[in-house]
Amino acid sequence: MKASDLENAGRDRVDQSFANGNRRMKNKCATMISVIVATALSSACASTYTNVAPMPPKEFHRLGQAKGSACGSLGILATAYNFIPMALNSRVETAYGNAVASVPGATALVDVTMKEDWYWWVIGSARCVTVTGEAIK
Amino acid sequence: MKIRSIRLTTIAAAALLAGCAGTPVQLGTRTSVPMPTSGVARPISAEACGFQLLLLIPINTNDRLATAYRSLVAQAGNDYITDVEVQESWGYRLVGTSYCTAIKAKAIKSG
Repeated sequence: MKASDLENAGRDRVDQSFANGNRRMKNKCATMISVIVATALSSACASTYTNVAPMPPKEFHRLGQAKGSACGSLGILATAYNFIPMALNSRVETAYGNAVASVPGATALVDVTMKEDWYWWVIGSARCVTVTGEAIK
Repeated sequence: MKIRSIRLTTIAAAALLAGCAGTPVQLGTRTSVPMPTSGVARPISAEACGFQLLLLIPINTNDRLATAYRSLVAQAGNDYITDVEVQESWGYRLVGTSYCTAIKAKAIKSG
């Protein structure tokens, strides 16, 4: 075998090794990206539990009717891309907070009613939660 | 012809932007009912889901809170319901979005 053949064979082995390394690296990257995307899509889709009708204290003062709303959207563009939440996961908590804040001095609500409306705004859809009740302190 | 297309566009836009209203639901036992002064609180929970097909077509989405709460009330029986906690979740389903409402609360037996 000639020296040039040996040199070529060695070069091929090095190239093969680089190619394998690159493939492994690409596979690792693809796996990591898939895990990140899957985690982002699944973990960003639930709100925390919000106590909207807490146990009233034994004694309380009624301050009058309270009302609060909060909207969140899911956008943008067509359905297949419609997965970006904008204030969507916090709408119940925000609506309850707004309702309590609508009556000065209120600390909680009793006799709570909740409803949700939705509408489509072309590149996304919005959902609005309204909380009403009697403010107490 | 032009006027007709403008009318159709206006009607379609109004229909789409008008949106949909959910069912109002009273959460927790009303304060007109005396609060139990003793009794053991037990946890109860319920969930209801709906699907928004192609963003615009609601399938059980507008009354999912009412459905979940009805189930909660059925579990409570005649017990006093309080500490009602609500969780909203959604999931991407390619041709639409699923929406779920989960409720957990405490049911207290009087006496």
